[in-house]
Parts: sequence; C-alpha cells; structure tokens
Amino acid sequence: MTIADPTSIAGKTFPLRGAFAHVVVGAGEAGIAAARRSAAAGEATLLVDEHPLDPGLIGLDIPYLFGTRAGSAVQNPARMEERVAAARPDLLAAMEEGVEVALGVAAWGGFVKGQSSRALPKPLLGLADGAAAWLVAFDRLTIATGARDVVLPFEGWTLPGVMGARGFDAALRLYAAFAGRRIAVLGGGALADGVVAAARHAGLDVAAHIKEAVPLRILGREEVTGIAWQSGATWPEAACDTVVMAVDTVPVVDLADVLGCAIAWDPARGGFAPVLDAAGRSSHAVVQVVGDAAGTAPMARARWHEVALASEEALVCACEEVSCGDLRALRPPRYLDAAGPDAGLSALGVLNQDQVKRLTRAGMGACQGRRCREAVHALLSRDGPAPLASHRVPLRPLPLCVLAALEEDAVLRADWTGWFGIAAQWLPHWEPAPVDAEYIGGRLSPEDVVK
Amino acid sequence: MIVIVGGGVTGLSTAFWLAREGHPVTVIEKGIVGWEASGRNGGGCTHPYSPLFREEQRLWPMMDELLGHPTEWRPHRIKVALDDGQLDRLWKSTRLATDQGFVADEMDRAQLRDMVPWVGENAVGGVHWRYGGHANPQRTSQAYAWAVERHGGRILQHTAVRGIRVQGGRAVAVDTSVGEIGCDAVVLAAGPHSAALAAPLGHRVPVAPARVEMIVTEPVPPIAIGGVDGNGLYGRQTLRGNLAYGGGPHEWIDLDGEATPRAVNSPVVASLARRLNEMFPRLGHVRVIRSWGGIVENTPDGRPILDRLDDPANVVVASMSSVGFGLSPATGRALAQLVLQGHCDFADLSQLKLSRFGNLPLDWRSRQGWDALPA
Repeated sequence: MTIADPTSIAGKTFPLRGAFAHVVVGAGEAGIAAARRSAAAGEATLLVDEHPLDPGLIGLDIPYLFGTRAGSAVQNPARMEERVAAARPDLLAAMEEGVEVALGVAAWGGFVKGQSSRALPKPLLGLADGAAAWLVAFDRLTIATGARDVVLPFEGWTLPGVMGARGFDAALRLYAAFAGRRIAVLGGGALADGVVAAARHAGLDVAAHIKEAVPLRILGREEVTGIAWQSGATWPEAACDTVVMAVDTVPVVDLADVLGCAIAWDPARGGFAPVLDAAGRSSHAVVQVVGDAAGTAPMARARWHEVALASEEALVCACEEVSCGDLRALRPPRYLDAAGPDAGLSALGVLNQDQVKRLTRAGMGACQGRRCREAVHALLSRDGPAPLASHRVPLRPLPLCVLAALEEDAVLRADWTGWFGIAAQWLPHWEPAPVDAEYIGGRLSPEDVVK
Repeated sequence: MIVIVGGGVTGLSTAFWLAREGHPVTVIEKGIVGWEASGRNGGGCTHPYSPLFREEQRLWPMMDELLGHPTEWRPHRIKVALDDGQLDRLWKSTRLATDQGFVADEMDRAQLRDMVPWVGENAVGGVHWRYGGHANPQRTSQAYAWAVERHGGRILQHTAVRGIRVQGGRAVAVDTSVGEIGCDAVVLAAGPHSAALAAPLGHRVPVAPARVEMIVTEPVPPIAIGGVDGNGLYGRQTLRGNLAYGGGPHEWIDLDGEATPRAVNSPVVASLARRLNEMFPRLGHVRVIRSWGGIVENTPDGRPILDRLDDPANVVVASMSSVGFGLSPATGRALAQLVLQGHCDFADLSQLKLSRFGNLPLDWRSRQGWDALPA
C-alpha cells in the first residue's frame, strides 16, 4: 500500500458553497426559461447572471463593447440590480417558482473530470461577485451566456463613444444608462435595424446608417464627434456622439470551451459555436447550451473585416497596441523594438491564433481578447478558418483579492510546495542521488523543499 | 542527417547548436514548436543544482544575439520570504550558488521594499541573487526554431513519429506520419512521450507525466528586477508587466497514445492567487486575466536524463525532468556534443545517465505515490 504523493492534488478537496441539480449561467430569455423548467420539475436550480456588471468590467468592455457610453448610473450597484430585475420581469416569476437567482455573479470557470483532471468528485463551477470567488457543484449545467459584439478595427474605434450592438442594448434597455444623443449605426442586417429602431423608440437621433461595408473613419479627439465614410469618390461626414457597430455578433463560447465541449467553425451560426445534438446537449453529456450562445445569425462580418483590415495601421488589439501591419509582420511587441521574422506570418506555416497571440501579444490584454478575437481570426484565416483561440480561466478578469478569497482546503495549504517535492531534484546533480529506499523517494517534507 | 524528436526547448536548442556548426538536422514535432511545457512555464534561468548551471549563466546573456530574435532575458532574481522557515530554505538554495562563487545579498524588509514596492509588512526579508534571471518561454522557443531554420535546419511541425528503425546496432531511420526519414543519429527529446519511443529500442525511460498550472495578471508598472518570487511560488514579472506565477499541487496523469492531453486548469488557480496576494499584499486590486496548464514529466529522482545509449549507439535520450526551459541553452549544447563526440566537455553529466535506473522496480510510479488518479 503506497501513500499518494502528498504534494500532488490527490486527496485534496475544494470546499463548496452549494450543490445544485441544475445551474444556469445567463439570465436572458433562454436561461430564465431553462431554470424555470427544472425548478418546476422540483430540481434544485441556481440561475446566475453577471449583470449588473462591476463598473470596472464595463470600462474594460466586458462582456460587450460598451465604449464608455454608459452613464454614471452604472456606478450604483443597488440601483442597477433593480434595473436588471425590472428589465427582465420573468426573473421574479422564476424566483417565485423556487429558482435561486444570483445577480451580479459571474461564472469565471468550469471544472470537470478529464484525462488530466481527475481530482474532482463532481463538476464544479467557479463563481464570483465583487468581494469573493466561490465554487458550486452541479449535476447539469445550462450555458445561456448569449452573444457578444464583433469589433471592426476602423480608424478611431477606440474613441469613447464607439460601442457594439449588444453594448448599446445593455446600456439602453438593461441599465437605462445610455449617455449618448446622436448615433451612427454600422451594419446592413436585422441587428443594425434593431439598433436603429430601439434608438428611435428611445428618442435618439440616428445621424447615419451605413449598411454596406465601405472604408470609414470614426472622427474625434477625446471622444466620438462624427463619422466619415467613402461613397464613390467622396467622403460624406455625419456629426454624432456615438457609433454603434451592429454588423455582427458571435456566440459566447468561453465557458463551453474551458469545460472541454467541442466547438466548431460554423458560419451559419455566427462563427465558432458549440457542437450540439438535437436536444441541445454539448459533447459533454451534462452541459447544454441554449439561446444565442448556441448560435447566432449567419456570419455577416467577412466583407467588413476585409475592408477594415485593409489598412496596415488598423489597430486590431487595443490593449496591447497591435496593428494589422504588426500582425502581418509577426512583429514582437513594441517594448522590444525588434523586427519579426523576414517572412512575417508565413514564418509560422499553418497559422494558429494562440501561437500568434503569444508572439505578437494580440489578444493577450486585460479585455481578454474580446475586442480583437474575431479580427485576428479573420486575418489568420485567408487559407481557411484558423482553429479556435483558447479561452482561459478566469473567464472574467478577477482581482487577486477576489480570487484569493475562495475558500481553501487546509490540507492543500499544508502540503503546498513550489514544484513537486522530490528531494533529489534540489540537491547537486553532480553528486549521486540518495539511494535509500525512499529515494525513489527521497521526498522531502514540504518544509524542506526549496526552489 | 541528425533527427531530433520533439520540438520543445531541449530538442530545439540541440538542433540549434548542431545546425550552427553546419550539421544537417531535422526536428520533428507532433504539434507546434514550444507549444507544451516549453512555451508555458515560469521562465526561470537559475538552476545552481545542475552541472549545467555555469554554462546556463554564461550563455543566457548571448542568446538574443545567437538566436537573432529577442528572448526577453533579464538578469538577477529577488527572493521574498514571509517567515523564518521560508528564509532558511531560501538561504539553503542560495548557498548552492554562492558555493560556486556566485554572489547574493541579504535584504531586509526596507531594502526589499525599495526593489519590490509590492511587498508588505508581512515580508521578513529576502535575498538578491546577482546571478540567474528569467526569459520569455514562448518567444525563446520560437527563436530557437527560427534560428535552426536560418542555419539550414528543417523543422517539421504537425508531424508524428511512429518509430525508429534500427539496423546493425544503429538507428537508421525515423518513421513519421509523412514517411521515413533516414538518419545518422537520433535525439529523443519528446518529454513524456520519450518513454514510448524508447521502449521498442529495448530501453525503459522512466518518466511520469504530470499536469501543472500557473496564473497571469494584467500588467502592472514594470520594476527594475522583475524576477521576484517566493512564498511557495515560482514566476516573474514579464517585461510587459504581467505577473506570471505557478506552484502548488500537480496532478500525476497517464498518457493516452501520442497526443498530449489538454492541460486544463483547476480551482488551484485560486490558491495561486491567494499565495501571490500574500506575497504582494499591495496588489490585491490587480486582476488575474488568464491561467495556463502544462504537462511535464519527472524521472524517479527528479533529475535529468542526458545520455547517449550504448545500443543503438547513435541514439541520445534527453528528459529534463520538469525543469528544462532555463537550462536549455546549455542542455542543447551538451546534447549536441553527446551526438557528435559521445561526451560533454564542459559539464559532468556522469550522474545523469539512463543506466542509474537499471534496477528500478516496474511499479516505481506506484511506490512513489505517483500514480494517476482513478478515472
């Protein structure tokens, strides 16, 4: 009988704040409906939604492109929670039917058994609010995380006042905190038409609606003051304080991806979308995906990306300041002041977005790549779609102190070592390793292990 | 033709040193170069317990120039202790280097705070290692690969090795998913996969794979010496300013065929955040924006295997036992010498032979408590 390596994960536990038959992430229409169904069937059901968002995340354009056009009202969490509940009347019904509802709670991670992760007795979901992170166990998970905005890196897109259709909708209807007056809308489909209609309904001016993909510039110094676009040989301009990019959205597949659910390129469903069976189940039997997270409208951004990415100067990744030209040249980040390989991107052979990310830093910033993911992918997909760039835990940026507040197993802490815990590894390798029976064992107690 | 199986840092560095001297090399990588543990690790370049330490220290300052691409290498390390036990252990590892003539300075809390403004009142002291350093693992791995190609070497990515053909006591060809490649010598540097490749040659390479993980924060303003760690964590501030740290429980795993399993993260990421916040209490507001998992392998004594076999006599086996990145400039040079001349003339590798495991019981993993958990 051997004793499992105490410095390994064997025997460690992960304290929970609850265990549910069914957890639903995302309290939109599809998520609320899924939660109500299981509660009606008598299942212990938890429904979490990250709205109202921490104002810091709104500033980072997470999960939508908010473009700092949400007013100061979003700084008041209590008021915002009332707003969210008011905007989604079915939430109240769900609560009355026994669904445990947690607003302002983000799902930042999912952990299931797999070939390299067998320590978990049950599937776990990582949750967090502004104060702490915690874990809950689930038997069944429904992902109803919706869609997010596709950003087109036209000149001026980082100016305050440039937002996405989902960001606009959240600011206007969910938070009732939209701070613009006069908007220009990009996009020729139902998404853009919806933005125009919602804007008019709210009494906003629609200064321009650009339906076809054309070269354009967003104007302004401190913030958006207008937009200019190419029309034949001329460049008309319209004054506005907000530009809404309503060309396209993509399913939010981050949680499905970290759980290991199969995800495939499917332009008919908006781009990368989870592989689902007829019942909406993912490749993980216990994970179901519903609503826009399962697939959005057919992809409508290809031509727009082509136009926006035609400029070498187009700033694709704002967090890490990577331009279209930097990507094509595979240029190391600016702080290194070095050239890329002579062949540029071709030096890599088959293109992989994660590899390009690590070399150029495009997508490596604080917004976790949400603003540039699709543009970089488009740029790398000239010879067919590049593979999905991985999503990493935590799926929302979490302050160290919030993640650190997750309750920790005392044994895990007591047995902590910096790196394995193999005695002979840290003794001079030019001398023979200890040969006592334990050497194979020469394991030191954690207190003696140095690294 | 020298065929190197495995496009991690160890194999790539070996290929670099060989190609630089004009030898024809082909690196065969089943995925992307530096994709596994080589490209995702703490980036430390400070290994005083290795016979290759002195060469590691000599080479790193030249690597940018040798490779022709930036590695982000920066010299020196600062170690932080939060209690007297940590400080004692820190001095133990410091003496491994100072006994070899390297210099380290004791730091009190005030001195530590001068260099590392993030530490708090809970720090009891630290040590400034005026040796060692850190570099960017992914950038370095890629730089090796491009340097190999610049020197005329060939790198085959997305190519799997099926076996090695032996004739008359020598490896004569490597069988791959794109056909057979004739060879004069083979270097097995395939991490945990080396075991399965060596077995048909009649050799047992005892390595146990394990999954480890790290976290990364958003950037904070860079400090002069970013190679700061302690409190049971290894890691660094990158040149961009992100904090990248790992440590804590690993998970022993089994391989399933030639693929490397998806290296997922676990809730241990929260414990990493906790330890990092303890070490740098002034950074509680800094956001964690990603995490990594990686698969490494360990030998029974945790030490490298750097050996040229007797039979087949033209096969070199290399495993760095989970600590390969920082030593890679020196390891590759040593392995190139093993290929070309059968011995290394700048470091004593006599204790790192495969034969030291000749009497290893078959159930060594179980005896160590290193079995994978039940499925």
